Amino acid sequence: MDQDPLPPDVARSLDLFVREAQAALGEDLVAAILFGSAAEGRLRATSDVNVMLVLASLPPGRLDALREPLRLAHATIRLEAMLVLESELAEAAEAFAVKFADIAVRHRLLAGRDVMAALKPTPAAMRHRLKQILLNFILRTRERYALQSLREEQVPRLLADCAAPLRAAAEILMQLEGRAAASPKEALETLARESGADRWTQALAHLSAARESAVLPSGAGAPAVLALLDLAEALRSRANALPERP
Amino acid sequence: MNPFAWSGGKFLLFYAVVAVAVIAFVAWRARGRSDSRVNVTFMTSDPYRIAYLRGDSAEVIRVSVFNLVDRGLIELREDGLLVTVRKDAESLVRRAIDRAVLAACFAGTAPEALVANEALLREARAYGRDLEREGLLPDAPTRRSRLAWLVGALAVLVGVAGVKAVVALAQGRTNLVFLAILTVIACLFAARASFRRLTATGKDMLDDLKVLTMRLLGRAGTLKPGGASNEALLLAATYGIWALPAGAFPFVETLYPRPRSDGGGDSGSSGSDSGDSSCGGGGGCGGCGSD
Repeated sequence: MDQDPLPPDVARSLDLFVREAQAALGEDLVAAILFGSAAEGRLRATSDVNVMLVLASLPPGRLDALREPLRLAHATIRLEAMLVLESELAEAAEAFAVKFADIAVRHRLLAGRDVMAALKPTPAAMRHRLKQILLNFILRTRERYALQSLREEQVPRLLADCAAPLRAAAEILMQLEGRAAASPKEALETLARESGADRWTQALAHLSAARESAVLPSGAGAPAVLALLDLAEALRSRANALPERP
Repeated sequence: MNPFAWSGGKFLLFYAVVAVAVIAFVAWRARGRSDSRVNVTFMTSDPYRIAYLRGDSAEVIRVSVFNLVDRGLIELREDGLLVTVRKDAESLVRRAIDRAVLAACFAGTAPEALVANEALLREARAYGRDLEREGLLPDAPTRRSRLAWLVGALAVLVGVAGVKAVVALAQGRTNLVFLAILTVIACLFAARASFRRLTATGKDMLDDLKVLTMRLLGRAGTLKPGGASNEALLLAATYGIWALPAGAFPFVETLYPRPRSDGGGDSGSSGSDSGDSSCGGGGGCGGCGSD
């Protein structure tokens, strides 16, 4: 996986956080894993930094010791920590199959042992979660479109928020179809091309622009959101057509 | 090759070179060596330490007042007084300075009166002692050592100028004004270089904290009031309370209006309590914000 260097402030804060977590949790810290855009080396100024701390156990008091380092890292680099017991991992991977499948593909081990290597959500769980994510995206985006799209300046943010669920869903869909993509972004572009030729090309370009600069040409944002809803429907149909294998 | 026999302009150039070398040496001695053993979490675990390192005791009080107003434990009344809103407020905070500010506000106090309150300043000065212990601010032996080096430097600067003056007078030349001016300027620069407010460790720590909070500063405009996280406190401690967005924290300008000369980021670092970390040899040495 891509190992682009992290921005210096992020690297410094992460290093500090991991050292403090090791001091606070001791032997109970099984692994510290960086995932999401930071792990991919595509961190933006507005991105969260996602870290999973896998714990052997969490005796009372240990969480208290983690409060200061976590608050600091959250303040400095918007670090979002998932605190999961090793015994909960398999269940969590089934419950949040798409997220864990994504982590399995895109992560960096910061400390401890790579527990993700042996963890793979079942195809049934991934299929189920994929459908759930796409339907949830469609329902939420419809509402947000109705609420926000009359204010043109709000639309780029709405559009930018479409990226994560759609790209993650596309990557998982390709995996379930037995294929691999270099990145979630590429997966979405590939599936969009396959499903509708050039139908969604412009919307995807606006999606990237909204994430890059939060500014779109006047009148471009709202049609792009509607086009992405259409693309999500197409992905959902494709997900529904997947063979029901265990 | 006797420089004291050189003519006016040539000697002044020679003297300027000597002065620069002496000042550079004094500055190098005053800076000392950076000690990387001081952990940044020592600072971040109590952001008031950062406020003190960047500013002074008054700045610690300003940041504490901001923090307590933001958390809703102190209220700014319409008559301009700060009032503690809960009787049990002191039990809700962990730090002595916060407790002292809450206690000072029970009867209602003007924001400016708080930064001049001797009890609060005493509490805030404890941070100075912490920072001295960690080598981030110069402690008494360091200040004495700096003073000794300054005395030596001044002796060289005044001595060289004095010898030249004696030689010139013996030759019947009395135009020594430029040499006198240059000597005074050199001595002032040497004094300033001697009494840096921060040690090398302190300066490196402040730089490190700024790298660490770079992203927080970048998204300052998105911070929300209410004290749910320590983001606003960390930002205020590192860059000053005026680095906070006025839209989300409008009370900051009401509490402590931004000084006209303050162009942006850092606030309140102009040393209003000279007893904290001055040069040991008396007042008027070294600008607090100059490091």
